[in-house]
Amino acid sequence: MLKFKISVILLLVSSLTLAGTISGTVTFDGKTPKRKKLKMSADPVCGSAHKTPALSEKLVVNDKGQIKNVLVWVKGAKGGSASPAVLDQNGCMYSPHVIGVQKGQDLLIKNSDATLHNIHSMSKENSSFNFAMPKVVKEKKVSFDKIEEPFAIKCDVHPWMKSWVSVFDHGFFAVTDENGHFTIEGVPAGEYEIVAWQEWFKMKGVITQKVKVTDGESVADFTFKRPSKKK
Amino acid sequence: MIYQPEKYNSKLHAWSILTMICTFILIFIGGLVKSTESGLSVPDWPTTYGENMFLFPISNMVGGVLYEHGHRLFASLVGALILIQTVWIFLIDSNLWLKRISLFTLFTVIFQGILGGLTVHYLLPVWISASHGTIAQTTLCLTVLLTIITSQSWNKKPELFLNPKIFKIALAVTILIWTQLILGAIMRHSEAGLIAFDYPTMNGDIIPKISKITEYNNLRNEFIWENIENSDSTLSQIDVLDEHLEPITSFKLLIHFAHRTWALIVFGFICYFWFYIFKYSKNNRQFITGSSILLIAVSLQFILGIFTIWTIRDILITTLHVGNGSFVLASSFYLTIWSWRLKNKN
Ligand SMILES: [Cu+2]
Repeated sequence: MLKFKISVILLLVSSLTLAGTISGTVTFDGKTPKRKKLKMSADPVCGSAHKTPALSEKLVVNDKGQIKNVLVWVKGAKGGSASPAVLDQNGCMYSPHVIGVQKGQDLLIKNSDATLHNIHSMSKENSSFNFAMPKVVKEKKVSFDKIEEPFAIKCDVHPWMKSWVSVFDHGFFAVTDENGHFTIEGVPAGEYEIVAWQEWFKMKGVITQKVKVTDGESVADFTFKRPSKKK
Repeated sequence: MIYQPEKYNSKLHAWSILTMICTFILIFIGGLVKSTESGLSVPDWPTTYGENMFLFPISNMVGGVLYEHGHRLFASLVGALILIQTVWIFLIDSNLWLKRISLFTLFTVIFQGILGGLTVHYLLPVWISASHGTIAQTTLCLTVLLTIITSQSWNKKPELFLNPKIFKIALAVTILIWTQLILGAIMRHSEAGLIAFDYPTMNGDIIPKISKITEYNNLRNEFIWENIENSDSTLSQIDVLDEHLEPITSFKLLIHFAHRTWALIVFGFICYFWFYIFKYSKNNRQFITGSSILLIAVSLQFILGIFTIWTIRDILITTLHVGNGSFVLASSFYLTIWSWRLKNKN
């Protein structure tokens, strides 16, 4: 009897700790967009920070059609803890351009520029805010206490500066790199819906797919299609 | 408004003209703040980045701060001009109406400053921002009124009188323009100005239908996508126009259509006003000139409005549309006040 109890407990524990990795690539189906040059002349500090003109990051597609800065998350997942969240302002651009944070987690906002910025959150679930970041203020911390779909944090001094933040109650999310690749590790075994979000497509245009996570790697690839002309 | 020949003060009148011109310039700068979306580039008020606004270094006036902080500085100047004007009037003039109007102007400009602070504090709610824009026009009219009442001609016994009907038409025109400015302010501050990129049609329809909003959104999205794909496109500022490219709602459709339609009514009435004066008051040079200027200004306004759409909200054209709009109102208001003054002989 005792043996049986132990084995049941072991089985439970192992099933609880059974976790896998979800990875995949996000691609774009359509004519590769031309990235717009950002007009930074309004602030000399911004322009001089870039050797070549800075380009828009709203839809970055490489020559293989892979999209950077797509936010991918595991819907309804529990647990997990995200790595520290840092949003840097560098050369009057946000780095990263898209970021996920956990509820209550500190988001460290840095100002690496020799100019001033304002940090304007356009969140709706969480209360929106706007605060100053003069040259001398190099770091500020904010946190969000409600989960929220991606919203903009932008700078009104430099109208091209806009980043996207989403708040989760778990730690299973990732943003694609320049090869459109993402990896979400340590996802507890189970069946999930995986959601991919892109800035131009917004929440209305998210792509979802079901993925079964077991011990090992599961693949979830996504393709954003340029909306068709007719409808 | 009693006129009092012995009370004409050329210096006070000159001051009133200066105040009026500066108020007009202030509206243009305020328009630039919105057109460049710089309203929140200075998050604190009345301080600027934690510093006393008058001590904030000019070298820090970069990007949006140039417009927002510049607007605050220029508004302080206008506030000071009006304050001095009020004190001046109270010191030298016994005209009760003049005192009342100047005091009211002072209250309006103070209220306007507070509204500006509030809209920054509450992150630009549509209604506060639109009110701030509309009350600005009111203040301009009040400065016009003060300029008129302090003028020499106002305080002289008039030689020519006008058909009283001219006052009625002028008043109607002023109210119509006023309404149009409010519609414009609401449209502008609810980001409904770019729900269509075509004129005179709106997404292909002369009279848009709420039932076709989905279709309009698709049409507009196609236009946006073509611009995402091509860097040499007309929509070169697409990256900073996000908020204006949100899906069309029925409210946005209605307010935008209302502004376009009301423009025709205003234009029609001003044409009628102009014809009426040419027919019945040919000998009154003040009104012939005034109504002609009004007609030219409103025609220019029409063209600027169309180009605001065609250029996809070019910053300068859009702001000229706002500034010239307040000029149209001020001209019509001027003619209304004078036609009131000249409407009867007793
Ligand atoms: Cu900035």
